[in-house]
Amino acid sequence: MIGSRPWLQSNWDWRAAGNFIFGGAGVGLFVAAALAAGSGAAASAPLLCGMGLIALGLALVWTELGRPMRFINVLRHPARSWMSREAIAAIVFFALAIGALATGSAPVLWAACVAALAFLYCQARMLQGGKGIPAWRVQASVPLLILTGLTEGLGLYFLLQIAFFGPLPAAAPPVWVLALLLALRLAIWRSYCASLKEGAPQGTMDMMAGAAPWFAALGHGLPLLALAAVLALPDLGGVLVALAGLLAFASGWWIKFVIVVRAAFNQGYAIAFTPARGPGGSRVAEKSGWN
Amino acid sequence: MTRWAMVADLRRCVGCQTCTASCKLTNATPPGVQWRKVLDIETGEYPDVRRTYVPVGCMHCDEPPCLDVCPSTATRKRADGIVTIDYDICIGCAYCAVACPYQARYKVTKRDFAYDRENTSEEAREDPKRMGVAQKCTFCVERIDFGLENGLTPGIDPDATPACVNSCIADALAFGDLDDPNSNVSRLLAENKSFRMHEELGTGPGFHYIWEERR
Amino acid sequence: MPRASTGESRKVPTFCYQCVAGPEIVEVKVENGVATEIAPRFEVADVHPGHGKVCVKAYGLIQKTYNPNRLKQPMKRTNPKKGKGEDPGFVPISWDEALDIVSGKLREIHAKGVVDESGYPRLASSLGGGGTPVAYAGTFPAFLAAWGAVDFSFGSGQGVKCTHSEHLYGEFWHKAFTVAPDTPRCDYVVSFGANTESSGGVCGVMRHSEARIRGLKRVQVEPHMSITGGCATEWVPIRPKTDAAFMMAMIHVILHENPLSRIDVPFLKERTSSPYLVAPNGFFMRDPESEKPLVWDLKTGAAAPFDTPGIDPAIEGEFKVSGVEIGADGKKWKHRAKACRTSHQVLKDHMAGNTPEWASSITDVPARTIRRIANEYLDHARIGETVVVNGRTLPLRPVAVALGKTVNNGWGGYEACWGRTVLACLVGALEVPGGTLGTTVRVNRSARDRRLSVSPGPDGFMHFPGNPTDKKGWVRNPDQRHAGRTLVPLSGNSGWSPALGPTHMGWMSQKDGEFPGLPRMTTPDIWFTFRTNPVISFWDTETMCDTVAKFPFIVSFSYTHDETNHFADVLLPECTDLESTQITRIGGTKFMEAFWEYQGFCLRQPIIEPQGDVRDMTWIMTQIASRTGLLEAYNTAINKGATCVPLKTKAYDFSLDVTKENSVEEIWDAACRAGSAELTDGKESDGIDYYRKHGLRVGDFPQINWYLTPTLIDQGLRYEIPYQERLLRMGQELGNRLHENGIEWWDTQLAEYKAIPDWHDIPGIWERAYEKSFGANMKDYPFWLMTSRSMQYSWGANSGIQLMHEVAENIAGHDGAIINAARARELGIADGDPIEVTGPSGQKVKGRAVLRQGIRPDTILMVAQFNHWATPLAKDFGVPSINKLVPMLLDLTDNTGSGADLVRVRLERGRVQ
Repeated sequence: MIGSRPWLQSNWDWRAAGNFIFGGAGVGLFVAAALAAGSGAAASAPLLCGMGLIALGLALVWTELGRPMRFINVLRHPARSWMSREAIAAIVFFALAIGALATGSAPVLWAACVAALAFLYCQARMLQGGKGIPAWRVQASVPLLILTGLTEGLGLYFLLQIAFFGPLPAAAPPVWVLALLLALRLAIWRSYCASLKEGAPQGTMDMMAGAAPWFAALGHGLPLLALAAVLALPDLGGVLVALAGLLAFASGWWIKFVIVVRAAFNQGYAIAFTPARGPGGSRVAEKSGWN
Repeated sequence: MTRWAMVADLRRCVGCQTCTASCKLTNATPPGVQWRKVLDIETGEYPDVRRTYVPVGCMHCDEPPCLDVCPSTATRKRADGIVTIDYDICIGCAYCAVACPYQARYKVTKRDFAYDRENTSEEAREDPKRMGVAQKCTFCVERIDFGLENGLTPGIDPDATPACVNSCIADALAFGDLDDPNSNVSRLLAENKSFRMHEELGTGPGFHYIWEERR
Repeated sequence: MPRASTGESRKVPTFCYQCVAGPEIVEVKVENGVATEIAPRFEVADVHPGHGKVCVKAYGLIQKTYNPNRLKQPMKRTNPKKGKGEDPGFVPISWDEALDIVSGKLREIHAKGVVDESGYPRLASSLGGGGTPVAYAGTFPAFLAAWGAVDFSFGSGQGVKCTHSEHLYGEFWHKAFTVAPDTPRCDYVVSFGANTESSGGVCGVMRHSEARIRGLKRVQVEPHMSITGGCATEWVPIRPKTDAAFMMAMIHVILHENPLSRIDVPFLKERTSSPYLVAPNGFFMRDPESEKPLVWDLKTGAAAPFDTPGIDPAIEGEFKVSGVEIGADGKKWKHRAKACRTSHQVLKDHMAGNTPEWASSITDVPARTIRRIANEYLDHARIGETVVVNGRTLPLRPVAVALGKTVNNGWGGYEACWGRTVLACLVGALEVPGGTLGTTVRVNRSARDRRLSVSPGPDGFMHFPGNPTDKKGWVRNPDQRHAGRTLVPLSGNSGWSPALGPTHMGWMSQKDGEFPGLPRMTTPDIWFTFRTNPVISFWDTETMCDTVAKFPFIVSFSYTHDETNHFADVLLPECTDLESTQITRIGGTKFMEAFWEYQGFCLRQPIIEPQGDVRDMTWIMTQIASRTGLLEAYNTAINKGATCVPLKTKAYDFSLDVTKENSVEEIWDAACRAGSAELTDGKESDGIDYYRKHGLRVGDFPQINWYLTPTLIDQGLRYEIPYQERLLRMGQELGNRLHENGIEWWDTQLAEYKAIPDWHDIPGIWERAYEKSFGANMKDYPFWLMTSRSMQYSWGANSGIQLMHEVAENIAGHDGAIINAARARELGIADGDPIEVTGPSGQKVKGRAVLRQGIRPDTILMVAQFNHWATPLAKDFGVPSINKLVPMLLDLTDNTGSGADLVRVRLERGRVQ
């Protein structure tokens, strides 16, 4: 039976979540790598990884289209749809990024970064535009998605750079930037949770109540501790930063999966009043399944 | 101007699902897809309980969240308030489905039949255009347009009226032009107290629920 | 409109009669020969009380027609072993072979004689609920009439799933097989479980919808909040089977807490037995000369026969009277100056102890609630007011009491029906505008118009055609295996009466073998089933399988494979609703709340080509009649009207040639012509083409025909209420007959024949029966399991239609068993959890828990009836049914031969599958 209580939406599954997961982190990674590359833009593995992640996210969401061969129609509504805008931003980004890699031009690279950030912003607005899902539509979801994308990207950058690509370049963002991003993400996460408390389905709240302590502890407490430990244990700096980076991006991916898939309870149905049946008998009706 | 709207008198509705079944036949929707359906909602706690039957579907909002988000412009709003979907353009991203706070939209990606194989009537009515795209209540727009072209009044003449309204055995559903102060729906809303679902979300639904007489 | 249609498109009217609230006209859209849509028939909106609409079930007819699971050619059984677990081994055969097998068997039986050595019919036939299958059975009734004695004992739910006590007592009191409020004029209804919004059809739903807007207040008294309870102004949860106590307390409040001036004294004096004086042995005190019942004339201060002109009978009081008293079997007592109370006084004294406080402990309803409702009922009665209907001034009494299934059948049914009828009479609201009305008539005749069923009977009351209980007339040897006419005088002897006997006793007779004192029980040689599925729709369904498996030869007219035809020897696939031809009567006053201002005939017509080698029932029956050598008798029965309308009367003659095999078209064309002629006194004779175009033809049926009281006024008759001497005599005489023949096992039922009922521990009857039969300790079975009607499912008949299943799922309870949420939590059961429900006989059903607030903590509800195990689609529902858990017990059979659809059960959390 269809009740009035909100239930978990099933229109966007893990593939849609993948777009937010990989797209956000990809943008962060690309920007971090671009910053690290400094003015001397060059083909670099981290840049390519960032682009690859964004492409992977888009590919995943493409597989979720009911009419994948009509994907081009996604561009038809830039005037109002954040999905159209996201797609345009993605096209511009890839054109510039490929151009930057091909030409080694720093201005083009910076332009690609701007396009990437625009893509991330569109993505955040796109999720927030899902008005039917209380966990998405709150204002705080926009800064949360942007911040976590940047945090994930930087964390991933540190991890990849330390683990696979060699020493951190001088122009790389300093480690404290990750600490700052983590602190900011924690703050906005708390603000996001607080805004949910003002009105969200019980199912969303239950899911968030389960996720929040882990996200705070493993996604913020532990990486911040690791970064702080770098001061005390400089010899282990690389490992600790890599660990912080790993936790920063993994926790971000996980929380985005939770928000898009697991906590995405819909609005449900509600009546303001029960009807009068014969004389009298009407009254204000409570909303079922809400906190 | 014209603003087509639906009015459900909750005092009358008995939850029989005749409208649901009628809609399914008229619009040939596959199993599980119900553009119109009636909820069976309980409020209160034993023994102080109320049971209310609530017809729902696309609310044909003034500010449809589905319209804003649609990247392909498949979703449009007509000047008369009816929100439509162009099956030829829709890419089936389901963004509209998550944007709709009324859970009114469906996306069918697999052919499905009432029984394990397609029957003659289903075969005759299957519309491949619906596959993989968003679909929802259209207010039976073809019937309305047919009626208007033939000098009929939607909401009054059955051939110009949504099937669910025609079928309602409690006369709980009414359809008409809100911009016409003398229309059936305008009179019903003037004479009775009504609400719209999730009014706080600012969508301006074109579906009104009567709950009590205005005294 | 999913796809632009090209080519031929037409809209064809036909009727839907899938439940007793019909028939109604429905419009089918056909495109290129394929039925695509169902719609209301607005062309008939002016004559139809539901504005031309049809209910949800009609919308399933397209899927029904094109269901790929249909049986599309005749089949015969190849596995001689019958059983639930046996594969019948059905193989397709030609119609010729199928008809030869069936008619060969029929000829063989007919040669032996239509009744067997015990006097029971060798041929048995079962049709589904409410008589509606007859409207689809073509000329099947004509074949049965041509055949001779037929046993209808084997019901599909009749007697236990209908409003059985209401049928019998309703007919006894006011020619009311079913009863309803005069909703369009009523202001206040106390409904004890009457589930009108589910079972009242389009007319019922529409009338109540209009009435709610007008301001009708309905108090719904029932253990669970039904669909109808949801539409009521107020829900009063009551302990199951205690409704009569509630009503008795209402009567107490009206009689003992309000002055006499607040009740309708003139109505009681003139239209009821209230003033009749009751003699010491409980029968009426009578005039020694005329033997007419006496009343006390306030004008002369002396007793006088009730019909003495110019008298003013006393309603209340006790008077010293001389006269005679006539008891059972003509036993006569002479009395001199004996204190006699009026019937009304007896009622008042009888109810003296039935205070709301008393009722509260029984019903679990607060005394103040009962008192308030009784007084509200009185406040709304508007005694003294009148209204003009069709030019005649009648009392207006806009209050009614309605009863639902399980309240008005089985033990407690008598008390509830009596309470309801007394409540109506006290305020003069029986059969008058605004009040409590009968809708259809089946035991009495004529079935077409209730008014025509009224004729003078004994003692100023209406005649009631009950089965005789005197020595000479009593039916010693039953003509049906359930012994209805022998045991149940109230079931009468109309065409419907065989279905009104204790049909579960038909089944019990096969299981238990003997009822001592009745002729030796036998099994029918051949059993026809049509649109019925008793193997799952009756009770104790596991035993039903074993019983049916013993039937030697079963012919099932079939749609799909199902639980009953699983045991059949021959399956004959019939044309279904959109493929076949037949007319039936429409309009007038019919079951539930079908009150029309028109009546006439409607046609079911073939709208599309038959799907497969399926045949019209009329063709099948003509073939069987012909091959059995009964063609002439069969045609004669058709001419006499066995198929809806006589083809020949004084006013017209469209009779068929009795010697030939008439075609389906010829038969129904003649019926259509006869229908047209009947409606126009022979002036018109439009045939089938007229009906094909319009769907129906009707004439006027004025509103005044809805009310019986004007007819009683015209004939100077009374309702036999609140004191029923006739029932007392009937019971005593029946007891004498049974005891003379050594039948002692019906004694408990005999005790129910009371002139005035009183409260006894009605729920305790169930508890004691389970303890006696199964040694079950009721502490282990703390829940009452009940069932409730689903509008989407016509009983079980359309369970295999996916659309019905899909839309029904939107309504709570169609996917499991409804349990009180708080009680379930106490038991550790969450919404959707698997549960196991066990009945006192040890039978179990499994399903899912549906937690709701609108149900008493001691009650579980299983909506509709499922537990299919053979019907395609339905067998996969996994939804539990009450039917498996309810045992058939003589102890749970009341004197009308009826049982009630409830059982005590245990609830446990089941294992996750």
